[in-house]
Amino acid sequence: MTANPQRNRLLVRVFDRIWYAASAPQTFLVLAAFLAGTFAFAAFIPQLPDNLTSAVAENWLSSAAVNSRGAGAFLRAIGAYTVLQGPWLRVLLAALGFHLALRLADQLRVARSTLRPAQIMSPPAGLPAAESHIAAPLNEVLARVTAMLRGRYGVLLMEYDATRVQVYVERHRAAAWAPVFALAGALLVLLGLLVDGSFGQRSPDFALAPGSHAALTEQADTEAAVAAIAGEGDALQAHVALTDGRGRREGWVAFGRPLRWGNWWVAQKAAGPALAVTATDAAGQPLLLQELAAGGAVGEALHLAFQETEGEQAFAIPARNLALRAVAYTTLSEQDSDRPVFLVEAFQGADPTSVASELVATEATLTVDDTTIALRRDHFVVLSAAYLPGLWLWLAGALLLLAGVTWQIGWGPTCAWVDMVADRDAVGIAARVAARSDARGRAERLVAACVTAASPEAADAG
Amino acid sequence: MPVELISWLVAAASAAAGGSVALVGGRHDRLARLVAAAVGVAGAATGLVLRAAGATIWNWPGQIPADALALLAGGALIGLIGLFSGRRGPASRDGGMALAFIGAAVLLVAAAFMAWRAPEVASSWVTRSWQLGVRNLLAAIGLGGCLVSAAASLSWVVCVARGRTSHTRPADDPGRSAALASFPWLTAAVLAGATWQLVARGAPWQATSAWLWEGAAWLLGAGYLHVTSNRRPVRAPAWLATLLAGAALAAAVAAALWAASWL
Repeated sequence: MTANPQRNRLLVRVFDRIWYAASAPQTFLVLAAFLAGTFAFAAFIPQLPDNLTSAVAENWLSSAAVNSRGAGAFLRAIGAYTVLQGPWLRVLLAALGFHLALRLADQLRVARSTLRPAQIMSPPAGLPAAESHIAAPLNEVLARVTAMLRGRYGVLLMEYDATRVQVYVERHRAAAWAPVFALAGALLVLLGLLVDGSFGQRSPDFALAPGSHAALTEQADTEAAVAAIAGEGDALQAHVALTDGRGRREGWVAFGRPLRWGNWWVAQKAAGPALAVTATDAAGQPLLLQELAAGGAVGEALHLAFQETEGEQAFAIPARNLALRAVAYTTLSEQDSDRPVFLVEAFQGADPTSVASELVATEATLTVDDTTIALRRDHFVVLSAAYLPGLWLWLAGALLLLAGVTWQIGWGPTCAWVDMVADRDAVGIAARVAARSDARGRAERLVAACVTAASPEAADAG
Repeated sequence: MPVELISWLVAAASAAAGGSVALVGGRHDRLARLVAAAVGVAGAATGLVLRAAGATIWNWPGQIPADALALLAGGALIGLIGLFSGRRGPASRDGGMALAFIGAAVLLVAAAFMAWRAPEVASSWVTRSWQLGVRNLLAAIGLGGCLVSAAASLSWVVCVARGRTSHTRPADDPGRSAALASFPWLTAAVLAGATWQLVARGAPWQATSAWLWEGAAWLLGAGYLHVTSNRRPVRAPAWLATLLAGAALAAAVAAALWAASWL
């Protein structure tokens, strides 16, 4: 009969110690130091982007290892290029989440006590005290000091006997809930990250001109298509249509104004020049055009995107045995323009000499026999998409965290203990203050205020 | 030399003068320190505004290391105005004030030198994005507090080592006030950075180097506040708080040097 209660008590003691150790400030220090070190390491060593396909990621890792010279193979073997996606960071964040959860439970207990009437608490161990004394009877000092303290603090409690009084005061009691907000907010942020990490995904960046589309996922179950691009410069925007098994969503995307569809976010990262091409015969009937790049588009209208590494594009009009080459020039001094212009040359059959050419600044027409080719300067956009099911969790958590931190720092709870001890014709005053900072300075100022309030001169002036 | 760089050098000189006054003292030293800090802030801000408006289109400051260092120095001087505008205090606090002023002066000189040597960054919609501009301003105040906090903490721990003070607990560290004042701003800056990355790149936690350094500074700042707390005092040597404050400052400077990773 005695073994079980003893074992239970032992178990409780062990769990208590684990709880205390796991929720201690020292634990937070260790975790914060490790996390900060991980971030610093990741800031130094190039990290694998998280929106690459498997094949591209493998190429990226290989080139990163080569660029790191002798240490490349070692760094790759220890996962240095994938620290932010690897198990180390996950373990740290999990440990931090456990620590924060324990502290939240502790803090909830403290915060709930503010819903009950205040009680005199013991000061934290090691809180610095400031002392002074004043030549006056204890009852007079007590009356004047408590009158002063009531004007400064919302709560005042006393314990006393014939020769000694302890006054306990509190201010901003409700601020005991501020750490609850901050801790709950931090936990929500971690939960949002966990949800995003487990169920979210990011697509590779893709460049789309009007009339083109791209799959957002490797399973190709969600697609984005650009129908039109309008505006110039910072006001440039693209009309994007998102489709998947459950429906379709259309909208405009601009710089700094993403498109949202459920948990999908599509952002416009960059834009560049493109050339829109159509061709007609003598009767005005449209002719089929074909891009000459691998997997190039075929249609009655083409949009050729000129990315940074693509200064030249080629397309053909098979029905007329015409091949055309378009070269983009960033500046062309004789044209007095600093926007890209395109030089388009047409070649017939195997003849290497161009049969016609045209410079396209905004719009131009190229005529070869009975074929009329309309050329118009256009744009392409680079879009990035992400599926973020945990977004609202971490956003709410972030706002809670910020509110809790600001509340705690700006209007944090303050407790003070003022001890008055009668010593013949004088009274010794000692004060301790627990506040957000400068405990020693606040204690000294409180003692000075008590002495001023209790002095006979102040009494005469009152 | 461009006018904006001269403005930064004038601000640096003013900050250095403020540091000298903090060390030497004098009859009107409080007013002199306030004036020195105010002139420093005005000089840093003038240089930043001139650089931002230099192109035909406004580009928000803070996207290149020189601007980011100047913002950091400006944030530190703002912190000095707010926190240490009181009467002269114990030697550790005045030494901390002097160190913070001199640190701001060094940052401003470094910013001027880097701006003079480095080529201009091409204007783009990113450099004109007001969301990133707001984030940079929040980060300036948040990270600038790291300099004030580290300077005050270093000065105090030197006094502790020399036995010039009996206040040797980490909770006595005078840098805590600066850390408390700047921590909400730094929290807002980290969150604003994640929000900006969401609207600009469709991914909130893209690990740019500058954002990682700011995250490290936030974590180290939180650790520093835990060590210097007097509600749950931590039994630790005095130098631990200073080490954390110094590490937070190093992360803040690194965030400024990697500022171009936001682009």
